[in-house]
Amino acid sequence: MLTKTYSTDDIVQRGQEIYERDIRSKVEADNEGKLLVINVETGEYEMDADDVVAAKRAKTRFGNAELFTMRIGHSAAYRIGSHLLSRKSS
Amino acid sequence: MTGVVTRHWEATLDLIVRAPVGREEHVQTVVDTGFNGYLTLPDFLIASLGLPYHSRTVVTLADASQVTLRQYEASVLWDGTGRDVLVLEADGGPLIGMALLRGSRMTMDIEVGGALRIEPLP
Repeated sequence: MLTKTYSTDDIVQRGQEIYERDIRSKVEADNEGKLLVINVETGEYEMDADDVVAAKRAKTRFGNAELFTMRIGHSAAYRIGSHLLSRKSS
Repeated sequence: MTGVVTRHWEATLDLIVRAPVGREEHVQTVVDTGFNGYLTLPDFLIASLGLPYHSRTVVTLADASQVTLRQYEASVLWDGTGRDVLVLEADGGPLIGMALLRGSRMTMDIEVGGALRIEPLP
């Protein structure tokens, strides 16, 4: 079976598009903060409040499909480093 | 579990990271309470462990910029028990984050050579 090779940008873009178009209206209101793992090839997803549970369930279910991991209600799944204050221009 | 505050004023903890295939590495990590994930590792450690790739994910950095990182699966020896974690591939020193610390009490003597202690919450 031929599978399309996705670039990094493809995976993120497709994942975000699928979320906005097909998933967000169904899940966002009641699941803020949960990890969501999207199969960018089929649009299917797994979701859980426990990140590892969501990740493992997605891997088990979707196998080697390209996956995009995100956090519901947030622009990024993780944050590294404390927030810096923005520099105000004088 | 015990670690130490270094002369660079970093809270460090040595961790054993394991891959499903059985390889393991001793990794010196820095505890970063501004990181809400589990663990970051540089690419060469991920490769030498043979960690299975999981997904791409977007991460926000301290300057509010966002980057796409690769995420992998691993387990760590935590308080004598294996715990499954997600590993972000990121340059620089390995970091431990709040997701891994969840359920623990962490105390530090913040002086050079001071002890870092991590134990389960009562």
